[in-house]
Amino acid sequence: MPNLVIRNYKLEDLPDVVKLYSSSQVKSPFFLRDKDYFDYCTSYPSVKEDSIFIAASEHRIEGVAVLAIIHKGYTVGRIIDLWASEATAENALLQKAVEYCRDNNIDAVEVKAPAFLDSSKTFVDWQRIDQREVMMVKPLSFAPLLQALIDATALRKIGIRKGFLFVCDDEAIEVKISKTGVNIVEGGKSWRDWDGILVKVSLKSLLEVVFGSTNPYIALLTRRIRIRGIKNILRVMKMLRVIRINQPWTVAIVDSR
Amino acid sequence: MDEKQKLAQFSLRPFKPGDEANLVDFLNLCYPGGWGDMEQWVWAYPRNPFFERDNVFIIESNNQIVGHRGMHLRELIIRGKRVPIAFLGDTAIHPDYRAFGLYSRLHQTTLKAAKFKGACLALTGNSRGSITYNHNKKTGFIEIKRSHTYIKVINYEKFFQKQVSDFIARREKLKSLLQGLETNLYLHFGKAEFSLKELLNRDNLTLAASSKSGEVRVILAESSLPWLVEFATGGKLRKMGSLLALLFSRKMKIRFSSALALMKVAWAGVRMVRHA
Repeated sequence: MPNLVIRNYKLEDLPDVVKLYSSSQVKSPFFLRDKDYFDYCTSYPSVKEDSIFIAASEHRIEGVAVLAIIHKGYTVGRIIDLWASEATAENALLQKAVEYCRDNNIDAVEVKAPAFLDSSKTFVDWQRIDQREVMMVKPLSFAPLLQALIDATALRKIGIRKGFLFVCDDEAIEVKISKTGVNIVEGGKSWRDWDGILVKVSLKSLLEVVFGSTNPYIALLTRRIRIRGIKNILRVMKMLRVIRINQPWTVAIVDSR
Repeated sequence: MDEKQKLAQFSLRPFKPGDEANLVDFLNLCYPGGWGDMEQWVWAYPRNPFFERDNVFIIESNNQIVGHRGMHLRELIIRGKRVPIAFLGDTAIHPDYRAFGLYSRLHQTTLKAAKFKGACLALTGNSRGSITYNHNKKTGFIEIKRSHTYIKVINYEKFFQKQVSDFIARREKLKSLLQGLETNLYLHFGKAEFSLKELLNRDNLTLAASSKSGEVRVILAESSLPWLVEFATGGKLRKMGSLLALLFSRKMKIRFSSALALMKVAWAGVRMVRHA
């Protein structure tokens, strides 16, 4: 990225930071970032004015990093949020935060891997410290999630033109595909009356497939997914591959607080 | 007293102004490494743009807080589309009131409230193998892949001393064994060097007389940090594995002034493992 400059945040940068958030190209799931989020993030105790960094090139803001200094027997510089338009800006902001910590006699720097950086290359001389920490998720209602995951055009390409019916823990979720898009109906038709593609799966198994912790083919072989009609198996497997999210969620330190 | 009677003496209510100080004290009591101070609480709750009073669930018994869980309703962006979620956190049950089924009650109530408020996913952070992790697994939660946390250590001495001190502080048996140890035990990490006596003294703990019993020095290379993290955070097998890996890769060396001193430290180690 040409002429990338790392500098301190100024109040007049706020609209551009909000623009950076809204024009995000991050593919993995992440928490919504907006003006309120940024205000909240920068009000984190021990975030100083000079510990908010901006990566700017020409007339655009390419990234923002918020560093909090915490004392817990030793001093740690915690990068509570690091958000950028691409990897170069992320890397430059990370280096700046480390440099700031060195200059201010801070004993360690902590960060959650940002969206674009390749962790295996960037964090070679860093230590992973969350081996036992996990994030867990449970579905409460599946329709809005399916709405976000299913793309009508992609489904038409794999030969699913009308839709299909998920039967999850005895609850039917009908996915209708029309010219205008996808329509999800919870508790619609009974599966006995359904003559199209029918997929029987528990909500938990479906979630495991969707969030990439279970391979759909393994789930099919172990009968956690049941598909009516041999001719539909391949299409459903392709559909699950389309809706599956393989990338790890981008979660900043501030998000998990 | 049956389960129903036990649960009847506890009442569940939302947050009300005036609870702040009690909540901070309660969370600090329940979280072994400490939760934080009032400033931290104000930031995490009232200042949070997603904060609503009735999204803080409090269990009370005789006007004393015995359970807490916070819920933040947020939006997750998946492939450019907004998905409403509920982030559940700061779950705590008073140590004297555990095994009464309070966590289960809190969990059910928060999940119902999250669904009622339109969240389609409930999210929570847990330590693998903990009671809450196992409970969540049984109640339909799955683990998801998410970005990892990394640390870059600049001042190894301070960082390492604090980690060792915290590691000992969390383990009562280890603490009493080290207090009874007559040998002077020194830890070296890169260029940093400190004695365990010095460390325990700092925490106002006294050691047994050690002048005549010699000394043992455990010398760790800076590159041993990943194994030390593994040792500190892993289960028994991982602890053993990382210790062996450190010894065989020669990232950890042991020097001793006399065989007796080493024997005393080794015996303390064996007793520690036997009692664990």
